Amino acid sequence: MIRVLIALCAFVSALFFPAWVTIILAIILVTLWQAPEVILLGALFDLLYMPPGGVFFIPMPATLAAIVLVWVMIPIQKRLFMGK
Amino acid sequence: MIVSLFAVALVGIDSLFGGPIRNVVRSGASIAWSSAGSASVALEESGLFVSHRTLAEENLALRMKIASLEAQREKNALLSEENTSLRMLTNTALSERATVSAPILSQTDASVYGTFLLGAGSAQGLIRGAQVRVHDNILLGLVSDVSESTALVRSLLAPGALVEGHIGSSTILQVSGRGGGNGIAHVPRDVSVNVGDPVYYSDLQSIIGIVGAIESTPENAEKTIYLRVPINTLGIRFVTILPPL
Repeated sequence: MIRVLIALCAFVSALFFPAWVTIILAIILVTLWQAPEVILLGALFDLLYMPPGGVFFIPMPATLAAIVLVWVMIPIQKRLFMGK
Repeated sequence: MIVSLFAVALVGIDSLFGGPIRNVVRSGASIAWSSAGSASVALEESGLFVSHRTLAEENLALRMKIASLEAQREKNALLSEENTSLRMLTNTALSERATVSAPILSQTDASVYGTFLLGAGSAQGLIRGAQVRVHDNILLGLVSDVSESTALVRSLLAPGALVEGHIGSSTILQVSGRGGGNGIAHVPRDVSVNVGDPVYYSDLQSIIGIVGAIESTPENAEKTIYLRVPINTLGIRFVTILPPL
């Protein structure tokens, strides 16, 4: 339930709040859970705000950053919550 | 893994086919933004959350603002007169270009790319490269993508953006955007620049920023200029769009 609420807030913040709010919520999600919704959030961010041609010659920066974040956090998360 | 592939395919297909998916997403988001904007205005106007004390404070602040604006208006009239006579002298009168007003839909700081969305698109005559201005001569950015009802604007001082700026009539500098309405440039140490000087776009009419700070050391041949947009872009609701020259 908390996860759904945070994910919902993250999607809403992508539209209505400064970018750092969305980033913080995405980090919270990937830290606490294996959260593929963060990748969709990255895709939404790119579809909404990415200028044509990408940024710094990277075609879809937010989507790629979200994918890396989710996959990198999986082993870290396992270590963090091993004792639980 | 499936979600990763789906997201990459979604954005990739959109980029390959010229943005059909992004147009749908932006149109959907524009409905949400417009509804939220209307709700916020209605709430403000209803005065539901306003106390007597707040109203008294606001009243006082408005009186002070009126006094300051009146003084400013007189100063502006003088400057405008001087400006007109100078334009006549230099024969650089502003060309009569058709302008369009458009509402800002997304927050100007919602994107890390230095972009924001406008509630007007090709249906209103917007094209790529059009200038997005506020207060007549402050240039916020250029239209970088247009759909039928929305347009994406990239700030001139977006992270990684490079723009040619002019200080005075002879100093040309390469401004690098830092995001958040900030930029940085380097000029030779001998060049005369002061804090508060306006930096003009290549058309020499629009201001892209003002000099906020200057950093210079005796051992360095160049000095660093820190620029910022002269207004708070978060409070802006409408902008003026000029077609590219």
